[in-house]
Amino acid sequence: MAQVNHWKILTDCDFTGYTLVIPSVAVGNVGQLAGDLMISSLHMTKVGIIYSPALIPISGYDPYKIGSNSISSCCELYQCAERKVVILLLRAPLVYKYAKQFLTEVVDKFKGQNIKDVVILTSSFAHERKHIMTSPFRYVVNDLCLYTNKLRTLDWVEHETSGEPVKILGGGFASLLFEITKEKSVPCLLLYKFASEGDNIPDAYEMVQYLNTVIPLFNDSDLFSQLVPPVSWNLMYGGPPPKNIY
Amino acid sequence: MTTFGEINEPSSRTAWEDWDEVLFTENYIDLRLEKETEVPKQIDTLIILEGKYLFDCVRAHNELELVNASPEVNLRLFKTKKLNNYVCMIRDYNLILSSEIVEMLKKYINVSTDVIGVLTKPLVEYQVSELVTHDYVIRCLSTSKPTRDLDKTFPHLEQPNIISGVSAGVLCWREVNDKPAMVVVCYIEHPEEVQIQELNNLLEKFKVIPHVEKTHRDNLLNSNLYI
Repeated sequence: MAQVNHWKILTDCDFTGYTLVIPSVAVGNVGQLAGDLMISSLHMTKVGIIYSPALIPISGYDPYKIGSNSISSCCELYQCAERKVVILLLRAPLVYKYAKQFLTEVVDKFKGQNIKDVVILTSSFAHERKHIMTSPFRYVVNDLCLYTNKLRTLDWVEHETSGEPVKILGGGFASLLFEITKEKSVPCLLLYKFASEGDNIPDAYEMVQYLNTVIPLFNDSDLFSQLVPPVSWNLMYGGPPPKNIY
Repeated sequence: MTTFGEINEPSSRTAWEDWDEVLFTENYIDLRLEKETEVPKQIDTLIILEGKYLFDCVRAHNELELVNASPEVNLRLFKTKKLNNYVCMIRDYNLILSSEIVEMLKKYINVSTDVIGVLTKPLVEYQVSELVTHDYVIRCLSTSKPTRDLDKTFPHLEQPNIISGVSAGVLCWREVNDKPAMVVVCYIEHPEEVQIQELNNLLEKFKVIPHVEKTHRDNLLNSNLYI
């Protein structure tokens, strides 16, 4: 079956100089939750919908606007013109057999639109953190990454590589996407947090905080007061318990 | 309902392939429909029925004519005898294959004036802040372009509830193409015990089942006595 990906662009945008953020579907959905938090807090605008056989379909009403009549799908593009950031948010895992072609098309498309760089947000299994006294965050950069010097001054812990390609256990498609950006000569930063399945909202807040130190997304004043949790986080762990259990 | 002490991961986190193990090969099998039948030039309404409840609702009646099938994913495609509608019945498929099933059905989806999906989900997955006291809850999701005459029938699905699978894929595909579609989702606690009048009316409207009063569900195989 020929794989055809459909891009429905809702608003024509010039992405020159933009940072493309792609959260990977990974353990605890930390990257996706961080993406949600940024979209909601920066009041980002939906500018595109992508339909692909590489995406496991999901659908619901707009997760950022209560009572909305606008359908949301598995993969959508959100833009913040003020901060020159665009987020490609996936709400379901990629189908492995179609993933490479899909991700390559994503990188090609945005490279063609002169984006500045790509940031991949993901997570890895908490039990993979060998040095437990260190920060739970790790990063990987490719040779073209624009933040390498800044990251050194921040004293962040780099991902311990054991050969190529980069492998982040539990990190979903992050490693594959990182390799594609390298192959396509697109500057890329991959940021991940060691996490476990559970309530991963605090992980998402921390990830936005980390990202904000490298790419200024919010004003210098208290960051956490500027973060707005989206509607989709309501009832994340279910509604009230049924009466008949008492 | 889950058993006391059972670890219940959010459903959104359970359906994924293990990308860390290199277990995948390049020998993927493409899904296809059994017969190379001609696709009609136009279909009034394509109805997609997902799940066992709907399968049981429909199978006892003879209002449909089998057109095609894909046994790998328990999919059967029918044409209604009385109207220019097609019915796709699917159940117990692997969620990972959802988008591929949509690809397989695209030639039918694209020629349909309207597409209606109907699926059932366990009531426990319906998330609202109030306590649910009914045996079932029916909600709908609709594309920006409304379907001809079903748009106001059911209340919209409240956030943060979502649907996944073939119906969700069809809805998104139609949205991307600016065509109308609607998915009716029925959250139900005891599918074997309840007759859902609203769903029966919907199926009757599209001539998938005969007159509602004549309908019955074949529960023979569900009975403990006969298993």
